[in-house]
Amino acid sequence: MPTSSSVEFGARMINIDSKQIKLQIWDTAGQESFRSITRSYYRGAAGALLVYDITRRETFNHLTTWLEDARQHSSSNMVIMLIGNKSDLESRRDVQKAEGEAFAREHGLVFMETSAKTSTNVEEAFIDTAKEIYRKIQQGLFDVNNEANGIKIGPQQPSGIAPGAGTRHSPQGSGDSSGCC
Amino acid sequence: MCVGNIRSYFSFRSFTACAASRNQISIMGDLQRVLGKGEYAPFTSAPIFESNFVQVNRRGEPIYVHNRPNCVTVGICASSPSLSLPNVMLLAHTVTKSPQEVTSKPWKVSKQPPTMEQLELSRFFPLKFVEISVHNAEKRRLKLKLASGRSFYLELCGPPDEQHLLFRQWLRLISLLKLPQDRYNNT
Repeated sequence: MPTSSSVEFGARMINIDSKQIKLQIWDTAGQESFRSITRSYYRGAAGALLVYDITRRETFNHLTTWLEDARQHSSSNMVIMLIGNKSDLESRRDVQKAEGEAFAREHGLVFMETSAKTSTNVEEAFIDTAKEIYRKIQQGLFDVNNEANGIKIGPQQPSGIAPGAGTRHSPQGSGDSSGCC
Repeated sequence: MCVGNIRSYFSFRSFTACAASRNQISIMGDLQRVLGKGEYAPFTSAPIFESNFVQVNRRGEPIYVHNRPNCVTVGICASSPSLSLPNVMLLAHTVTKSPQEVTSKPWKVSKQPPTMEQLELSRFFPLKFVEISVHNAEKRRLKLKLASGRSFYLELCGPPDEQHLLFRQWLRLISLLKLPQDRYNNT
């Protein structure tokens, strides 16, 4: 499947504590050649989903490098959710769940296994990340008046928070089978 | 007064301003208005050259998505004010939104207004991964070749009396992007 050297955008409205929150999601390419570009855009992110493939040990092994990049180029308060994807392929598992949990614990990340194919935990991953960002806002760790944190107060609902770019980095690489640009 | 020679443009910002002036159009295009909302750092205040296109196949036939031609807004911009050349291509599409998605105000089912269309940013490419060229000058079609090897074809659309001028601006931009960096810096 051909890979895509681009960043794709998506948006989703969710509710947390009766507040409407818009997630602006940036889906980045995982290729090495794209890494230098990706680094430029961490600064505007309030949260990041760091994804590996549970059926490919090498994607788990690369997490340290991706995490170093994220930590070096982002706000210190950026929430990072570690995602072990393809949980539906249990028979091909190459990374145990306990290993993902341990990595997350060691590096202060949140952890979840998902399956994009079956939608298992996919929505939860985004919502839980947003909840953690919201918690940090309430604790005053994020300055909502500084848009460099990736958070923007919505104009139509003064109490609504619009988290900025949530960056998903997938060492799996992203395929583009669509014929449309 | 716009300088005619493309080599005289010393920055992309002046190119976009000159292009806007030449075309007697507002510099604030639809895509730039979207970026100006502040949701897409670092593009919030980037100068941008943008136009609307219809995606076509190699033979020039429109590509349909959901039974309508796939319309794309293409913007070329620099992600940093310090850059003298643009480094990013942005793609945006018009999407249909329900009222609940646009506002937080709940609507009664019986009084729900029609859905609304909004331009939304869908993708960006670093220009180092994209080759932009002219596919058919007469039909005002561009070819976008990606690093993956895939190619897309876009036909410029808009008011007929503006298309000629707009396409000439794209030709200038393509030439500008093809200038070797050292030669550009010396112009």
